[in-house]
Amino acid sequence: MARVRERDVAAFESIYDGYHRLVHGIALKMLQDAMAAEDLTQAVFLKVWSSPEAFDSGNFGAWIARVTRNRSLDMLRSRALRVESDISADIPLEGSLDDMVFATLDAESVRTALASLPDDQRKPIELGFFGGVTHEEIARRTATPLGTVKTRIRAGLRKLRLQLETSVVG
Amino acid sequence: MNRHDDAFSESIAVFALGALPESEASAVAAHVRTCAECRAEYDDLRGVADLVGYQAESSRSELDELAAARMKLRIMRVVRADAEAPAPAGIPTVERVAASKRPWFAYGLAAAAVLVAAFVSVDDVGLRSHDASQTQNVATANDRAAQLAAASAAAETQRRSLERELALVVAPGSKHFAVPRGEVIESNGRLVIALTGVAAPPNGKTYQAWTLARGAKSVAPSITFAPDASGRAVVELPESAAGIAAVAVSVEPAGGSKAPTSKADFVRALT
Ligand SMILES: [Zn+2]
Repeated sequence: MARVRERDVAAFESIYDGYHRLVHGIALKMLQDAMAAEDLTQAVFLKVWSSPEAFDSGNFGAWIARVTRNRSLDMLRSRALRVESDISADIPLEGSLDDMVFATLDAESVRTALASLPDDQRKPIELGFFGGVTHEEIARRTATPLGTVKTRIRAGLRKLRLQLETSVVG
Repeated sequence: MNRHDDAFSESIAVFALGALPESEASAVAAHVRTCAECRAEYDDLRGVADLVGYQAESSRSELDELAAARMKLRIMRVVRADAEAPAPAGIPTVERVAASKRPWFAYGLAAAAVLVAAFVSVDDVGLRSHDASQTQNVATANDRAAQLAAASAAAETQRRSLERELALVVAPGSKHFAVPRGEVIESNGRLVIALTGVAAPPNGKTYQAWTLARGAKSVAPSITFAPDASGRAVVELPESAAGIAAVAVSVEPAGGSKAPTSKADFVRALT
């Protein structure tokens, strides 16, 4: 990314090659529209090119996944319940060693780790990320008390972290 | 550091996932900023929450090679054009555009800068405007306007034509027809051929485009062109797209031919 800041096209191209399937996949899953997903992919990467300083440190893949998710939510914003995402994005992550190690993860290991979670933890997490709905909406859709949804999301994310750490260590 | 409040503990994970309603998120964010205990939990879970997106990575069946190539061509074309524009160092294109309250042409901004601005909204994460630096950006943009005014008429013409071609290529509603090493784009009633990895034509030769009118028995000559130094060619055909059924390209003697004298590099039906 340092080279992208210096307007290095080859550096940008290698980042594009590495992450376009991730960006496109998130956009497609959330927007359910092939053309819109392509347009959103273009918008996300042009943003990477035009304001590379928006990414400061940590895991680039995690960052671009979040940016794509938030841009997709912007597009879907017409829905009644708007989820606040920008506020959490405002708090810079402390670049922990783990997050750097996570940068080596691929989609397959994340899928495997997610699949290892119990359904009642995995579903609310996926709904929260891809559905862009609030925990209240998740509680309603899954017919679960709000407090239970919160507890399950927390337990699920903690377990996911453990699983991913294990898969990195091998 | 503020005192920890257990009332927030259960909400940190939901907040990290981005699934707290706005009304609650502000309070949790404020607490996370000042409570070491909750901050540690947030740091632990936020990175993991973002990785959930990896699950959706497109497979080859969701994004086939052709669609992937077309998408990449579109993006790299804009990025390359922007990189080649002599931009003032250190000032991101988007901020230059955002800083300008006057019409863009007053600053003579490069075509791609305008295009990028159209795609990238300035209210995005990390793009908060900086009042102090904006003033400086405008000053730099004015310097740049002076430089551009001094540029040659030929360069200006080339810039305008590239700008127009790029605008057509990425316009909403444009149709893209894949050809070897690129595509033919139909946009706003115009036709654009966009190719990469094109070898320079042999000495005394040129590339020539051809159009086939609907119902016609033979092709009509269109524009001649050559790729730039990096093998790219983006050319707008002088003909209107209306009534054109196919586009072809062949190598012809310099100056062009009235009818093709060599086998076409490609013939692409616009359907
Ligand atoms: Zn706390």
